[in-house]
Amino acid sequence: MRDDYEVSTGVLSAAGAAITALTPSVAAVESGIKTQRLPGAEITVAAELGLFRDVWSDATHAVGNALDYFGRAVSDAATAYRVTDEVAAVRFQRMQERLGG
Amino acid sequence: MRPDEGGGSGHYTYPGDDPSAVAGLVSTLQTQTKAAESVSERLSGALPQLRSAWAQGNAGDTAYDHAGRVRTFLADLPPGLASAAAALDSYRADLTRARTTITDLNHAYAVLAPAERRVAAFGDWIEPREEVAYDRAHSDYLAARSQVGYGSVADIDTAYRAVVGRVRGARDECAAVLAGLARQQALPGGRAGLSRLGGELPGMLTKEELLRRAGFSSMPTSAADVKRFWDSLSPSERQSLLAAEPKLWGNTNGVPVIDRDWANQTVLDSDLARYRQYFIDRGVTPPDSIDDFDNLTIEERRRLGLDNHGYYIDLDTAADELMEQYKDALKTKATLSMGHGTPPTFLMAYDATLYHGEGRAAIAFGNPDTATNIAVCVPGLESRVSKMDQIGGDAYALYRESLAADPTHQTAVIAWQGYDAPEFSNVMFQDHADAGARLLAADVAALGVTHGAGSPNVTVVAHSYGSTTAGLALQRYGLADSVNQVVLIGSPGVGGEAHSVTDLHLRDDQLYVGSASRDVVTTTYGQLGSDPSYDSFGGTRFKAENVNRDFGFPWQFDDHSRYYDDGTHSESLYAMADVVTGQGDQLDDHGMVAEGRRTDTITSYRGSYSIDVDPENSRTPTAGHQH
Repeated sequence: MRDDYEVSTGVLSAAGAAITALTPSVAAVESGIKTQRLPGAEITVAAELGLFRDVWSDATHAVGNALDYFGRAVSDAATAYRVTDEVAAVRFQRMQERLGG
Repeated sequence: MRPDEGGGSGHYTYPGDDPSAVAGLVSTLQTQTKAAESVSERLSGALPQLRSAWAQGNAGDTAYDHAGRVRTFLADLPPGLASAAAALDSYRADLTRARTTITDLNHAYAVLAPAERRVAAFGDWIEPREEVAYDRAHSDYLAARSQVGYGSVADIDTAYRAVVGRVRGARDECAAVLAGLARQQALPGGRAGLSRLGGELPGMLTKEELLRRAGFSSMPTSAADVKRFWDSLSPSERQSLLAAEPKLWGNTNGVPVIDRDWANQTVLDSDLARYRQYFIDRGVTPPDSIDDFDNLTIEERRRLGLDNHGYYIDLDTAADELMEQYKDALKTKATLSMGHGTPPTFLMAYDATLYHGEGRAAIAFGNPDTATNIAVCVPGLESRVSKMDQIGGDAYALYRESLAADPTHQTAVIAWQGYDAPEFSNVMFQDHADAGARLLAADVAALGVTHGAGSPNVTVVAHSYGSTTAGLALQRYGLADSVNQVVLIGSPGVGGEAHSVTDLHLRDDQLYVGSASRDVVTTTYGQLGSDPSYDSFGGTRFKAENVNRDFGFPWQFDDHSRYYDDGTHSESLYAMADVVTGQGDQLDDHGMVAEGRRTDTITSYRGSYSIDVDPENSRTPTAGHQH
């Protein structure tokens, strides 16, 4: 396990938010794929279009979910680093005070 | 020749999809391609920011790797969408070209066909007085040929067939690309519609999160809300829920039949494996059929923990109950394959643990979500899932006759063992019927919720004590709102306080009654409500005598089980198929209406008294009725 850390919480938080913000765009793509329909005809690609539509909208939905999940995880990590840093700072401050620094 | 394909005006119609509709698809897909590219670029733009912010550390490395994977998946989308758009656009161009050619062919036909007909009208022998007229017609014909560039109408027909062939070829090429793209993204070995990404990528939401996303604070209770929730899910999300809780979703109204079937068959297979293992663990060969249970030795029964009464109906030990569940599973499995795939069967409900192992199950022959005509067969006394083959056999017979009665529409017939039917010991009470009535009303109402078109033609066909159950569902639980007609066969009574069709909340033309004159159940019971086969009840009684009916008094047990008889092509099965396919008004024309029972008052010197009269008892039964 590595023990060298270098984290910029502000930038990390912004990166997480930027990734999460992609989700609605992916949802719009999914919605566009899901609406693909053809009116009835005897010679038609409707069945194959249906297969394509279902699988690709499902895949797009999964990508949207993954981006949302990942973006939030990054933002949560940034928050966790910041909170940890703040808690540690307070503890060190109290320790210094107790030591009469 | 008049090819019957597609739309268009003129002699020759346009084959294939509407090019403007295909153009709409192309445009949408091109827009989505650009949108997906944009998302992909923005993600790529965010990654250096992520890397710089998390330059060192295990979590940072992992996150960066993960981001790369998501980016790879995302990068797959634009080229896939673009390929689909390109294939469809090529197809659109072929369709457009075909339409232009067909327009020209129609013009050629409009010019040449009348001229050709005029010449043909003269026949093979030209009378001298008609020679001038013939010469003019022939001259016009030659001019028309020259004008359109075709030698005859037959040549234009040939050209049209060639265009149709080219459209078919273009369709096949486009279809191959779309199907290939679907395969490329599909989950290997998965159900239709599932993508591999659905299972590979993280972020699958839990049931509670999915419910919240759809606006539900808890599990919806109405079938309509369940449907709304289900519609909000992607195929992978649905599959995730089905796999996690198959018993729940397989038995929840509002979930489409295909998904319920997958879930219930998963439970069924898992149950069977568990029951078999129970035998194996105790050194006993697992039964493959219900008959094998009769061959267990006393020692084997002891090892299995069974009581040694010689039969299992007592269900007085957990092991006895498990054996009943095992029988449920075996019979359900066998019934599902009854039609050998024609029609497809669907396990719409399955829970072998209910009612002390007697279980709850529903098997559909044909898909109720797509069928125009749906029948729900409700069994009666002593029915249970371990007799599913009998209930299923009846439903399958009705399916086949109904399909013959209306071959132009899809039919589905459901063998509904959906309630705890009584035994002989408690058949005189209506409590089982009332509990079943509530379930029946809910299940039938849900058929309309998941149906693709939303308004199928639904018939409940209730036999024996099942007719008491259906009667109470009509009187108390709103079943009348969900059915187009009701058939009661071998009814001991409709339960409750109903004395007429109106009391069942039906119109006269919605109730049909099959009541064999010598069926013991229709002639001797009295505690289960009014007999609907009486004229005074107001329904239509159809013929239900069987050529194999028993001779003698009207107290015959066998006659109670012949309503679905397809071996003799019985009156009853034929009449029920008419009703199920919405042709109840044809019963009279088909000679299938029977005179109802009635009560006559006899007056003699001793006074007046009433006697029950059944005109059907003296009628000679008929057979060989097939649509």
